[in-house]
Amino acid sequence: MLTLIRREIRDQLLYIALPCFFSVVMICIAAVSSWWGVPAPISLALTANLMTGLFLGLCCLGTVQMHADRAGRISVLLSTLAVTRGQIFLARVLVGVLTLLIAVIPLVITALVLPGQIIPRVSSYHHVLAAVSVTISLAGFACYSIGLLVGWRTSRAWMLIGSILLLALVASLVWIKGFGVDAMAVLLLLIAAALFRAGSQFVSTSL
Amino acid sequence: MNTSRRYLVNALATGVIATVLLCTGLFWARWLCSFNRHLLLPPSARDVVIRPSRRVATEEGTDPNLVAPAIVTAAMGETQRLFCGLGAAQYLGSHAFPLASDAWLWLVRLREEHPDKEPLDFDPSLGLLVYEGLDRYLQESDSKPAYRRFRHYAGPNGAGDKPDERFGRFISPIADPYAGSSLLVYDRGQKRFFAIQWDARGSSVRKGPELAAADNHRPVQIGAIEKNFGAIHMAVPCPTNVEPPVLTQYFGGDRVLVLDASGRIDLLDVKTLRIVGATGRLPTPMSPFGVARPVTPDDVVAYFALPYGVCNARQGPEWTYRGCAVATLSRDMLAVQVACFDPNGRVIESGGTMVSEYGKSPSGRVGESLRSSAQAAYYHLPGARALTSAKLIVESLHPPVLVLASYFAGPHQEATAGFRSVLLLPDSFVAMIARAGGDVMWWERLAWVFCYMIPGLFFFGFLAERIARDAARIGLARRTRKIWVVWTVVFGLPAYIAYRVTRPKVTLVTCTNCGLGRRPDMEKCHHCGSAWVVPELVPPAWRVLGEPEQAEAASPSPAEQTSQPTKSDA
Repeated sequence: MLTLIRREIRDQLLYIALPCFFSVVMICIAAVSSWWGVPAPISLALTANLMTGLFLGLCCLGTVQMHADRAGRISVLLSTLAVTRGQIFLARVLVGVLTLLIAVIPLVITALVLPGQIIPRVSSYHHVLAAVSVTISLAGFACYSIGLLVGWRTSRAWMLIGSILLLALVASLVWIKGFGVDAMAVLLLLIAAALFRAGSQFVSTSL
Repeated sequence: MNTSRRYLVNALATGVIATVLLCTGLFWARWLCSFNRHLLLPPSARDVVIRPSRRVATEEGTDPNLVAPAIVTAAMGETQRLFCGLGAAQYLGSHAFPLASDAWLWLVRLREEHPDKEPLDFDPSLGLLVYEGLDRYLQESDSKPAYRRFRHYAGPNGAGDKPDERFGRFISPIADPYAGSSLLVYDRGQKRFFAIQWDARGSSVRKGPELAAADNHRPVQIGAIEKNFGAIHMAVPCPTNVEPPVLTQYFGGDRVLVLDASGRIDLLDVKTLRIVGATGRLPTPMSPFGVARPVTPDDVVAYFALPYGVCNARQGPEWTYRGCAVATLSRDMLAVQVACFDPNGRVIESGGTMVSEYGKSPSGRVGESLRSSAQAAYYHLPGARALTSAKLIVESLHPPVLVLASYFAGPHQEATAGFRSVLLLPDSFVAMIARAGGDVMWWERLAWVFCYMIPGLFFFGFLAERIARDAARIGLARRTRKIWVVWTVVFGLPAYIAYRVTRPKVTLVTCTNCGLGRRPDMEKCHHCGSAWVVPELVPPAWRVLGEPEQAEAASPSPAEQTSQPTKSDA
């Protein structure tokens, strides 16, 4: 499994770096705003916009992982070794989770160190921070799962239009529902369904 | 997992994805309709003026009896903020200042402008209210006034500068967030009011009597009776050119308004901490369907109550309570209703936002007529009918089961929930029917609901018929076909999408018996039931001997041909 994960990371290094890049930019903005005393609403607005970039990066990662497999017939090659397609898919998803954690955890730490720069300073800040972090992570993972689903398509046009449209819908769910339990429940449901569907497609497609 | 179970789970997963994504898309379509409908309202239909004292406009703008204000104005405020600030903004807002709920934006602004503002907070782990105040003292060096911060904790049984178990615990307190150092608190757990006096030298707590269970009091707000501050403006103008006594906004400390969960506004005696009676209620804004039920705080997007009284400045700061003016903003933000109440809670005057139209009235009279702004925005203003039709179409595309669920759940959902509700539709036509007032039987309401659902049901019936045909063509089992048809009628488009995505991908071959397409992976034709006609590969017992074969038999073989010259040679 570790070999599969390593191979996946090596193959998609650029797309793994994309969400992390947005995360780093957000941290830099928070740090610079705090250092120069930029009003909190400005850094908050920038962070909110860059969050869309984070979602986009994760969706791209999922799409590219599946599309590269289909186009390069990677899983066909790997299936000749002692590896099942389920394991290949699991390794792929684990890479997605890893990328998400690498992107989100530094953001959470920054929000703890610099309160009010990434999340508005409110009462019961830690509770709000936890809820926002969990919801953002779930939304990011939902975007990644949707990317996995869309990336298995052979048509590039559908892949592009589908990923943009579905990404916009999933990302807007956070804006609509907020960071409460109901938003988390909807996102969890979406993630479970998308992962099952993507996995089922991947495993059952003939080589 | 066997094939049929995998197929079922696969279809369910696809259905879930389709439902969530489709409902999110439809949410934005509905949002666009609502936002554009709100923009249709002309500026004159966004405010309302009532004259409770019923004096002629040319007279001096005061009531000589000082019974009711001469004029009360109410208007829609920053309503676009509510459209744009959906769940995320609402969540952060409600956590910005939990005791003030929706007034967060104003409070945040206030805090940023006045960082020295004294904040009040509730610590749920301690069950105590926490107050950070400023104490004014004179400096010893130059006797100049200076300020120092102090923090006090208060519970039902006492207050002090450190948390103490002797103070007891508030279970679910509500307080006036703008009260300052004299705070009134109602604890929903203990069902009684408390008066807390914050003081750097020693804070104190006064406990009121427990509310009788028979009184059915459920206070939800004390002091500042408002929701979504800024979305609605109201004023009771006070003439500045008259000598006291004058009727103006009430600033007396002995009476405080308390909003009940039923929408009633009670009057609290601050000295005894008892409710002395009802002094008004939230007025019901006009709905697009005309009559609406009496509203509760959850039924309107915004409300604002302003007490007024007589101030006799000659006799010191003495106030006499005279009543209150209350304004509400409907949940679709298309109507404002304002009412003026006397001290006993009787309506003196009320009014709502109107749109004036010039034309022929139904009675045939030509001239100006007034319509409720909500009805005009749905049916009469230019472009209103198009938006109403679009709303109906969008709602018809929603899964029917969720539309029906909105009928039952809609009346119990908070007014602003419609701005962030993806699956249920609290602001749909169906939910409006559920909320409509009047003496209507439940089955009449349900009949109206089905009338509104008819376009959607027809459409999904058509899709179900298509699915039934296609499923029969590709040879799905009868039971599976029935399930898909029922799902499509119940869940609508998501079920149809799930079917199209998960249907078995088969290439049909022509059946030799019936001539229709049949599946190559099935034993029998799913149309006529005939089995495959397999030709038997038995070699025939006869053989056709034709001319060429005889000639071939007569002619020598190549070997013979090559050997013959040898023989002749020999």
